[in-house]
Amino acid sequence: MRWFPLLLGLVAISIWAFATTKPRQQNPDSVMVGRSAPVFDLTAINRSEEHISLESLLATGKPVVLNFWASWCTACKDEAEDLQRFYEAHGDRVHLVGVAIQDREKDALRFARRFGMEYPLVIDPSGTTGIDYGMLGVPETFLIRSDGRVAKRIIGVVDYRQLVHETERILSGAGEGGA
Amino acid sequence: MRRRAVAVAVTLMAGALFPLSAAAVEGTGLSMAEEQRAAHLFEQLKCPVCKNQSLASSTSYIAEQMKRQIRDKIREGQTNEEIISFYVDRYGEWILTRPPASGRGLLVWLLPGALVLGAGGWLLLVLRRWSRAPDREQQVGSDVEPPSSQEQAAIRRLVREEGPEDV
Repeated sequence: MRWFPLLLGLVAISIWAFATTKPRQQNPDSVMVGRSAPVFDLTAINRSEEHISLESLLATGKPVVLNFWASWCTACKDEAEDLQRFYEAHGDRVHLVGVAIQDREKDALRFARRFGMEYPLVIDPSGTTGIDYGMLGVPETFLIRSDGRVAKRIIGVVDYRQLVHETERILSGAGEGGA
Repeated sequence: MRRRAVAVAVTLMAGALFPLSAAAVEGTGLSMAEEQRAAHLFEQLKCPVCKNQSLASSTSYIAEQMKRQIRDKIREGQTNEEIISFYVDRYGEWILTRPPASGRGLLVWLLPGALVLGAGGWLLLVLRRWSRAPDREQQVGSDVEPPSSQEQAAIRRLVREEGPEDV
């Protein structure tokens, strides 16, 4: 019976170890935050320029809002109008780029026309840019500071107010954080 | 003569099967050994959009893309460690099907064994105590020394004087 407290202690340490070795499973949104955003150079589908790269966007000194979406994604319909509204109101201060993932160009363009998406759209048919960003699914949005570091990752649908709030934080130089 | 014919037949069969095995990895552009490495890595990484499924067991689009990417990285000459750390960097340690055997993750590996050993030791101790219990009773009984010859004579004398008791 003298062993019992020792066993109880071991069980407690096990529970603690299991609970604390998987913190990122609950917070995958924090993995990329604070790190350099992976570079990309993708084909534009609704612009005259052929490619849009992260490097060219950051060269302007503005932060970047990178929104991963797909024409087959139902939840993406819910945020499309908010993203367009954000682009119209803040497009002069912030770059907004939509990255169509695992999609066909004609399907992505049809979706964009239907929801009035006029902001720059690029296509990543292989999905490698999504993997580079540790993307878990669509929609997912990354806010990148003008110095190229990821400031915020938003998993799931994003709305206008959230976008404005987060970009204001970036522009004012406020701290980094997950969703 | 018969032995030679069998040897020729075996050689011809092996020759016929070799292109088949080469074709099995031709689609991926990897050698057999490299393909085995890739398969091992597919087992070590989780599909990010599935629930506790390894890349090997998932057919989701992203899992297929990751498999293709892993094969590309092997072709580029990257080591297993480099490939694993590429995904851990992007997704965090939860992308691993097994927690790493270092830091706090080491506890996850060691504690189940320690618990089993501890519980086994405790059980052994309890069983040993139980098995010793009757011995102790016997020991207690054996502590009483038998009466000496003088005592036995005194007992007999007393019994004779008082006579047998009425039943």
